[in-house]
Amino acid sequence: MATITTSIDNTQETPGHRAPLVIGHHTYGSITETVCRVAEAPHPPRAWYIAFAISVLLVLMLGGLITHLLLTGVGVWGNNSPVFWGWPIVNFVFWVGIGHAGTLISAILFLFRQNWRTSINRAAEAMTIFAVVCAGMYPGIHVGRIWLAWWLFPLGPNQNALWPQFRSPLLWDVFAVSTYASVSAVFWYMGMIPDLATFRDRATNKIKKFAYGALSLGWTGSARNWHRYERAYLILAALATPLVLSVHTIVSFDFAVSQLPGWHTTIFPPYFVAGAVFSGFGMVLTLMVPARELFGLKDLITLRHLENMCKVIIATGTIVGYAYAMEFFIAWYSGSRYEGFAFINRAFGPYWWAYWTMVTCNVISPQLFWFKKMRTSPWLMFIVSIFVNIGMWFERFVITITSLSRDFLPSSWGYFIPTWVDIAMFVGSFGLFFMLFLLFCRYLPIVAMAEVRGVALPQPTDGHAEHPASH
Amino acid sequence: MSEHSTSHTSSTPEPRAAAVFGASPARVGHHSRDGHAVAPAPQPAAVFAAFHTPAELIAAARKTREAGYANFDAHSPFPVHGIDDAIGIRPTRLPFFTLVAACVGFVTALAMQWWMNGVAYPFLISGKPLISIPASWPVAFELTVLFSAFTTVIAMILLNGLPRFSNPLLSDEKFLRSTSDQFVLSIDARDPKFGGALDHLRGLGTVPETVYTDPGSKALPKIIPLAGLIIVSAMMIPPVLIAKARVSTKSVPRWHFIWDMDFQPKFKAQRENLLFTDLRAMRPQEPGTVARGELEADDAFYRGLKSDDNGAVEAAQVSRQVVAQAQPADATQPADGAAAPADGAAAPADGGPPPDPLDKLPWVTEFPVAVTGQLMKRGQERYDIYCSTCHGLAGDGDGLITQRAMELEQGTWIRPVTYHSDAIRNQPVGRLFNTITNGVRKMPPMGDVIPPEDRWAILLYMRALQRSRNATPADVPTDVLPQLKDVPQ
Repeated sequence: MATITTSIDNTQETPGHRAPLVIGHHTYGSITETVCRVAEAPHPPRAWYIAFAISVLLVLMLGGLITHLLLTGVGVWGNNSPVFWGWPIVNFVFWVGIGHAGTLISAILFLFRQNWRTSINRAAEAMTIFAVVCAGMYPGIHVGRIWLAWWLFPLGPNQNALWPQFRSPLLWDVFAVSTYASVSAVFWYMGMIPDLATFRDRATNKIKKFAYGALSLGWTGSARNWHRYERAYLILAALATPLVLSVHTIVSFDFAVSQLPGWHTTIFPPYFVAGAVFSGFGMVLTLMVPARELFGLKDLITLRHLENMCKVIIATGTIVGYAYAMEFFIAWYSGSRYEGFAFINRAFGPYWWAYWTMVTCNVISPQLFWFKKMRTSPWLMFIVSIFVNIGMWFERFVITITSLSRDFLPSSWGYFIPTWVDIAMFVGSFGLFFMLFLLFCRYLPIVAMAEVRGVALPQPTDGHAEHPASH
Repeated sequence: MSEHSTSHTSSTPEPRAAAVFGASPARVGHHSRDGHAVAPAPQPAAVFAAFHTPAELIAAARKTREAGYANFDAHSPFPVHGIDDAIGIRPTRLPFFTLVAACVGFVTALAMQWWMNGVAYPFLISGKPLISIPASWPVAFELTVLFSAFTTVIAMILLNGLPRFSNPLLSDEKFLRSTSDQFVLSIDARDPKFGGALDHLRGLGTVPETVYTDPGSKALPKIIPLAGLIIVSAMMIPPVLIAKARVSTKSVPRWHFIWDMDFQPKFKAQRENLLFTDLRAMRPQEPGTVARGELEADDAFYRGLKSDDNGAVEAAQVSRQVVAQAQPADATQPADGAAAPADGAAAPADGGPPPDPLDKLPWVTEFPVAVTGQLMKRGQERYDIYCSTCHGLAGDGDGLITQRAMELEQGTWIRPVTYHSDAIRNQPVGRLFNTITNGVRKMPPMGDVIPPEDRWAILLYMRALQRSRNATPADVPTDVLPQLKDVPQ
């Protein structure tokens, strides 16, 4: 059993010596032990039970609220003239954005040969899928009559005698989010097949043997299988990279293609994508900092991993800050009095508190990561990650609510007030997210063992004579 | 099951079944379906040897290939770089499948959008083109990715011969470490040189193991087909119910999921409302009030009545009610179809129907709008659209609908009167305007459909039609007169 070696500081890069990606003198076998222990322990840690119980209660509340919504109508939400897009779309964009970090880690960092990703990509991909589940819930239930939600899709037999409007960004969203959800799920699953085979081969009881046996499809780690698997993984990464960029681009089209001041801007696609990655890395930190403590994964998810994520957060947070500034500049530079008003109103109007919460959390708080002390103290960065989550929720709130509440016609202005159902449903969606994530931690390989063995461990030196420096 | 186990002779090595699905090896290995057949002797399926490092595996694979083996494989807990060359694995065809799927996805998306929005249900929005490539791009991109990603994963699984739930190699505990920390070289029994495989592996300095085929292992545990059958049957229930609903009729109303959405607490038009003495939910206009934009103060223009003196105006106000109430009485008048009394014809004073109250009203006799050639053209156009279907293009009461109705001889159709009778020719234009606005006998009121300007235009054209039947050469402009044939001199 590997022991945690604190003497190695892999956050320092010394010239001529590459800092190790995993610490603790691990071998192939000890990696297996460390990861499988999480799922094979007879009982998960007590904290797992507490978190799971709370999450399940929140999910039950969410289920009750959805039933209430469907039986009563969407009037239980605060959506009303002039803010017809209230919390549901704010929460939808928030959750979709969270997902983007998972795909960025699994696909884009893979293409960039960032081998440190292997310790966190599995959990981040799981986070992606669960976040998209939470996001997908809102478009499903916002139609009120949920049994008609299939109208969103061009499905036959065409009893309605009409088809969806393919020039609407909302329809593009249906395609983008459902493609994103399904492709992320198969990417995640395909990556898990070798690790599920490890679980299968270590399983001691019949149910686990059956379940992991079925899920791993009879994988034996054959060289021929690995050859095709690696090629498929590369192709999927190459497909998922433009996909993840397209998803939040299209989400931003929901706003940018409309004519409303504050929405109708060309900066939205890159600004949304950067914000999504920013919020997603915030959520990865929120999940990983406790998870590595709880499940004894500090050797695999090292300080270096956390520090790298902090660096991504500071980069994307600064991009987001630039976008906020650029929106103001363009509002002035365009000469459009409506644009100008929309932004003055954002910062100094009735929602000033939301705007400055957003700026504080998204632009100022990540700047703390310029200090190495902040980047290497897990619990400090955990706190900042919470701020990032809050800030990014407020960003979507500010964009949606402030623009709608005061549009062209002052006589129709209003002030949006959420109902208790709005608030409780959002809280419930966190329950759903954490419940799924906790189940994942307990029953599926939380770290991509095969990838860590292959690229993150220092390879035995005798391999180099046979096969010098593959990359 | 246990009898079989005990009766089994152990002269051959204990067969170890594939244990992927969790059935214990002993149980599956001796499972015999008929209950009396003796399980055939297990055949060797493969031999394998384990190594500790990737480098050893690569070296062993290279030597095995050099020794002339073809049907062998390496198993490792992660992809070992360099093993492809050592074994001689050719590049996979997988990217080709991805490319085909990407093209199919792209074309499917474009074709779908073209057909759905351009052909089957054309969406015309602000005059933009029905088929617009830029707007089709997002969906085309998404479907391209969707098709190619799924194809890639499915092709990877199928090309790898997966899913494979029965594999003799997986029955050996020593082999199982190849998914964790060992590197295994296996030689399949189908290799022509399999006879020397064990010796070959020993020559590599390892302790090889043999795994055996298990005839019983091919049978799935009974629970799996059973569970599959139940799941598939359950999945068939909704489509069957939908299919049944689509081809059958019901005598009960449809299901109401949400009662207060389908039956909202509100009063609908034409329903009863006990709050009012007249019990009508739909409230009539308050006397003396005028809806915005509906003042219509100009009696001549809007109603065809002279408003010279107050009495006439009042009479006009009254007439709006009178007409509405008089109509049903008119409609019940006996009408023999071919010879319906002309509109406005003075009823015989004795023994005939009661005098028409409309006769007494002060109808205008002059057009209250400027009579121009443009108005005449407009009138012709509107007449051809709204009137000619029943009245005929020349006003003879022989429009296509009338002709068809006469053919059917149902007796409920009243043939429209010809415009060219004296009774109609002599009616004041105001009266005719009123007829268009409010209808008469079977003729429906057209006031809701045709705006007043157009009604006057139609009247003007109607007057032209009437005059054309009673014209003299003096009525025709001299320059077109020579074009006419049979002009009485």
